[in-house]
Amino acid sequence: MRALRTSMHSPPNTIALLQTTAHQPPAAASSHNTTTRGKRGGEAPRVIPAIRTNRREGLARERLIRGGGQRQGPRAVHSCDHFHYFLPLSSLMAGKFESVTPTRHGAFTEGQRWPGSAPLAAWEAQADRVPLLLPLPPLPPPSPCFLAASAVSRAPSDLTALTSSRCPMFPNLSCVIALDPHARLSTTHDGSRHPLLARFHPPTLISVLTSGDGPFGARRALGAFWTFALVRNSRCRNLRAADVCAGGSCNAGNLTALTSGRGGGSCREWIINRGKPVKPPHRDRPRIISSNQQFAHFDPPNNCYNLQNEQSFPEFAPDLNPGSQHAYLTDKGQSSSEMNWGNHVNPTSVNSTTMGCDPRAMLSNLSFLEQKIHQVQDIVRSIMNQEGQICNQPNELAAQQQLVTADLTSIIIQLITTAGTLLPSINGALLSTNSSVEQLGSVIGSSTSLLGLNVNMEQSVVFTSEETKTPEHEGQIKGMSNYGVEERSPVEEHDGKDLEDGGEIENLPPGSYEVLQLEKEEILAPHTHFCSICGKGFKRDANLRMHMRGHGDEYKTAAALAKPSKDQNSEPVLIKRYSCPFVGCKRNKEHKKFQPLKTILCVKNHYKRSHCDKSYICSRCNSKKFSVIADLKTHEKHCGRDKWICSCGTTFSRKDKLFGHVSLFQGHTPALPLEETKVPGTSDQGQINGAMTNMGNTELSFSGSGDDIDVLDIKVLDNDANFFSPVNFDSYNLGGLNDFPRPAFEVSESSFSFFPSMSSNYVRKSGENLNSSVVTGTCSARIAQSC
Amino acid sequence: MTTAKRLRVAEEPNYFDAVTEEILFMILDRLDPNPLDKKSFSLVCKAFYEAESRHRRVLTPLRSDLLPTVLSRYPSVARLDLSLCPRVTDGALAAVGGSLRSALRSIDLSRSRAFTHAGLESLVANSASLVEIDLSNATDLGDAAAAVIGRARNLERLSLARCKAVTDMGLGCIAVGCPKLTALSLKWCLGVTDLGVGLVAIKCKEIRTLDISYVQVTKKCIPSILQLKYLKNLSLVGCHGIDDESLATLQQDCRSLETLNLSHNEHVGHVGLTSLTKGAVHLRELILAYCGPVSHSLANSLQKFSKLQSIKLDGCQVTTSGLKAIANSCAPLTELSLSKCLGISDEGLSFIVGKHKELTKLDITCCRKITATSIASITASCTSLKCLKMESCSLVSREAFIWIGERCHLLEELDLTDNEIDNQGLKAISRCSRLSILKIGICLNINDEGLICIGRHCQNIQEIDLYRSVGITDNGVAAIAQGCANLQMINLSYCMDITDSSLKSLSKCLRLNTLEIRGCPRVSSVGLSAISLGCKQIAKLDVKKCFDINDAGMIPLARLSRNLRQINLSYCSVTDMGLLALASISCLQNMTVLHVRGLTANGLAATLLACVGLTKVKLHSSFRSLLSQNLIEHMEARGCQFQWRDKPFKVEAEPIKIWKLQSDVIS
Repeated sequence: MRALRTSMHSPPNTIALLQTTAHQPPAAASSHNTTTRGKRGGEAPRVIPAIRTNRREGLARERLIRGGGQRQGPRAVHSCDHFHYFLPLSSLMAGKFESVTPTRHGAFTEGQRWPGSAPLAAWEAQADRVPLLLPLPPLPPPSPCFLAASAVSRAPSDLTALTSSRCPMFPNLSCVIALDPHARLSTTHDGSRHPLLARFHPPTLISVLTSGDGPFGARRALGAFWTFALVRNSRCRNLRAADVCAGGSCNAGNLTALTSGRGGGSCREWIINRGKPVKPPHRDRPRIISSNQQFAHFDPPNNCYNLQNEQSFPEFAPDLNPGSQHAYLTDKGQSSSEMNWGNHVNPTSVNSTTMGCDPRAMLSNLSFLEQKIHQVQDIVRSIMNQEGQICNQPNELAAQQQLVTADLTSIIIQLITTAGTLLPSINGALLSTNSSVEQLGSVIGSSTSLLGLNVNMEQSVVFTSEETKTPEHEGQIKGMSNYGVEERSPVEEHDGKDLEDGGEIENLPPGSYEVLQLEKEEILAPHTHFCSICGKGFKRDANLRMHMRGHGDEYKTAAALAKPSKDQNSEPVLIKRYSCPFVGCKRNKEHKKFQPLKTILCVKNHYKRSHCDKSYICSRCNSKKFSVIADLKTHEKHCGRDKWICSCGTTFSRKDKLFGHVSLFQGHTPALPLEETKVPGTSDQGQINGAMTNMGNTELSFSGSGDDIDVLDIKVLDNDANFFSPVNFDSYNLGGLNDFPRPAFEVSESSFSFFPSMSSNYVRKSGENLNSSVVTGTCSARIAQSC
Repeated sequence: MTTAKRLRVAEEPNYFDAVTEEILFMILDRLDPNPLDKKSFSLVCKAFYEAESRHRRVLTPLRSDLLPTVLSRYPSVARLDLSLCPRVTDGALAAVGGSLRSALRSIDLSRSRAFTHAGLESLVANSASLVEIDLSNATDLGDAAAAVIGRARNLERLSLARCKAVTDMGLGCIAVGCPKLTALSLKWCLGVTDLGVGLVAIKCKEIRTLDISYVQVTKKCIPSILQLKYLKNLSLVGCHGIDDESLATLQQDCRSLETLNLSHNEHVGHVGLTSLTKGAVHLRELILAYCGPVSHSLANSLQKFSKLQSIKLDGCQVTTSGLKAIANSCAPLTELSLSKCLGISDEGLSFIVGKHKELTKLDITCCRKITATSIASITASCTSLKCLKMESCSLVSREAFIWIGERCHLLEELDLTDNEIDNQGLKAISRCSRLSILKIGICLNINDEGLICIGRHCQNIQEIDLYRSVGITDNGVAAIAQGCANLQMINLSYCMDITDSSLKSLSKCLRLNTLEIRGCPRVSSVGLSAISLGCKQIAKLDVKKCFDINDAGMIPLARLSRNLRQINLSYCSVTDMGLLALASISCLQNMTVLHVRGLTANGLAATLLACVGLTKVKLHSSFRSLLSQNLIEHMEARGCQFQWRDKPFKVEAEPIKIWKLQSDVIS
């Protein structure tokens, strides 16, 4: 802890490389860059932060570090062309480091052109298994934004270490990327909230990238995550939709993207079946100001991008705005399952109240992109040059191609990210009141490994997140993947139905929130906000404020008109949750499995729907009843259009919905309208002339195939079971309407104007009075209705 | 008197009673397919009659009004083919269902009209074991009929081709109700969309053959179709909603696919083909007729089909390089069809036949650029060729046909229409002793000499086409008639030198069922009478412009050729009497009577009324006003269609040279 603080307070130009001074090593001899691979110890390393390790751990490490390396004294982190941050977080967090001394990074051997003052940070710990690769955020954040559990981390304690309650280390951690099939996110098997996430409060963006067929341990823990930005379960056959949606507060509302490449696929189906735009969760939580920025900031203003040692890249994006952070990681791990971390560290100290997006950040992003493209061009050129020379090893060529692919992926991702940063600026009005807006950059995990432990090349994940930590502002989450993007635009609608009772189940531990219970009268009162001067009631707070302007100039100030936000400087207020006053209701606090309601609006809707009379009746169908006006209005939008009927009696307004229903349920068939099945079978006449007229009849009667029967007709005749029979229709042709032609068949014939195949037949038959008959039919229907 | 007769019958023991029914059935199994034979068999005695009634499994009635009595005679009919009955009422269908019950397994209603879903309902309700229904061309039937079909739980094969009024709703009923469907044809079902087809693919998992040609489907239903586990034959002809772009993203693969027909899809190229056939390692036949140009990438995409045997590229634009690419990338082909392809050259064709020596079927119809070089390489490499169609390859020189005869001994079908073949070529071809179908129409260089060779050596010939091969005379025809006892079809149209003696010799061919002697002015009623006497199975007869044929020819024809179905009498000297005599042929369905001088409106009306089975009559439009409107309506209600023609009277035959010149200009 102390060590980190030290580094944080170090001046911008101090070096970010952390090192345990207590165990300052002799120059560790491990040089394992690509060129000297195979020539062990050919070159003395110039680095290194080194740490005492015990023998067993050292051996384990040796496998991890490329090329093994001679163990001379304390272990050293080699940092040649790959940057490994073997961060034994548990040690770190447990305060095992007594001090941290920044050192300059100098591990680059000849043949590599490393940007001179590139910052790197490396730790090694004594008694840990190198569980994590921690890419340090390129810009000084208040704390790490993301963690990646990589292929090397097999120890079950990996991520739990992070969440050790001893160390409030990562208050702003916003995503965990499980790159590894074996990374176990769920050490809690009881389905309760993952301890890792218990740390992150308020809910932060969690991105889970899984791969491979391994026992994706997060099955149940996924449900405990606060927020899903992106779940990508490529080849993760064990992950099922139920796991994603099960439990906790992680409902589909938080899921902005979900891809399932070659995976089980059920997740995708599931989300498609839901078919609704996904809404971000509604959070009624006090904002927490992240004041504990204990984490180190690494200064030298360079990005490190890393590649094969022949390649050199110009440095890029030297002046990234703190608001946007980028980390790039590529992995070429040919011989081991290591990961590369390109790192970018900004020298400026952190400003926890930086704004989310500004033009400078944008510009730097774009310039970064430009440089990046140049780099890719360089690689491609070099590949082209190498093609001339046969002596090149195929491995290298393949690696370079992979690199190009990775770079292109990252460019795409960066583009998306950059575009994504524009979002908060659009909604700047809301953001402006929020002090702590953090924009998390993009993360690219893109690596290949011969061992097959790492993430596949094709798997890369990007997510953009802004975390506003305000009760009002919804976290706008935009998750994308480089293919198969399923984007759900966040809907900022607070009184959506999905928020009401049963919509969302939180996993708030009992006691972590304050339970309020309104009385029935309060709930049913038309107004919730009252003017303190004249007593007038309002439904919305904003309307009240507008009203207050009339009571004097003191109410016209910006402060008075502004939305009353929670006191920013106070301690986090206890979350408020609501209870239904109806005893026995699940939403009542006395209930055994009490589930609180989130907002007052939820309470109102819940109470009306569940415990009140349904007094609003649809005037069209006269059958559907509602207790909430909004529900009635929703129903009226599609009432009467349910002309697609299943044999089970369910009606649908859309044909494809009916067919989806039919394909889902065994034995259900599409039901034809009555008219068609009741065609009189009169064609059985011996007389030739009769047969001829009969053929005409048949055509007529088949003309009404019921596909496009006028909606109004159904509405009117809906109550009669035999409404399709012409006789009954006559009875609806009320007295005084005899002037209208009988619309029974003519109306239904209009359906054939929609059939290209039939039009030639039937247009000729029904002639030009087709339209008029439709019109008259509609008219008579209307009149009948009004009667 | 009667008692005495009965006594006498009782006295004489019926020796046939000793023959058990099993033996009778075995005899019946071995009888000739000729319906008359079975008729004679059943007339032997009561036991034979009953045995024949119980033995019959397939029934093809000519008229539906007698169905109840016929069905009571044949109780164990499993397949009822009503394609010859233009009018099948609901009552008839109800009778079928009522009398055959669960014995009925298959019914063909493809050419019948006038029934509704009510008739189908009684049929389906009674015949629980119905396995096959052919409802093609039932353009009046809509979703109600489809819903009725959906109640046939055991249905396996269903054709709804051209059922244009059936929509997704009806198809949905079928999909849910008939889970055992293995073959479904939705060709030209214009009311059907993705939803219906998709539901079929989801619900009917057993489907092996699916035809959604000309259906307005898009890419949306393709994934579920490709997930059918047993799908073998998929036909997507003319599905314009499908193109490369939409197919490119298909994820599914169908491993069981064996035949794929993508004809008439101009917008489907190699991309779509690749994604449709992803994983289809068992693909045997690929039909890409009238698609886009055959490109290299298309040819390369064929590489992965190791079992591909047949490719049909009819009407495509095929370049030499494309053909070479196909030759290089395909597994050994047995069947290749390049008819009407543009751009086929000697080089490409020689290359591909050189690579694929196991070809048994090759169609190069109308490949007008190829010369004897191609034929040389074809005959040199593909010696196992069984079928060669090379109509209108007019640049191929005479000697090429000698190579065909010398090298391809296994040929069974040979189409040399409109080629330069001469007698030497015919002599060589006569070595192909297995030849059964030979078309040498419009071959102006051949005469009797060659044809006599054919007649002597090719004894298996069943069909021979000598249309406008004007060098042929009676001698050649006699040789054919003598040598080819199995002859079933002969076309001698516009062979001007043919006389009655040809017909007399042809009357020895007992199996002859099709005779076309259009435009042979030297043929008279005498010859036709000889045919009537000899060829009892004659079903199609074209005697147009045989001016000497008159009533004298018609009467024996009407009396003896009871199987006649189709006749063309235009320009003949037949009068009312002859035509009326013809009306007694109950099978007669199709009649063309144009420019018959001796015919009056009354005679025609009488014929039409008397001829019960008529389905199509072609008449001169002058009769339209002469015949009463009631009669026409009556005939139409009976299921007969009238075609009114207004062709000018043209007696003199066109000189062959002029005609040839015209056809060249057209082509």
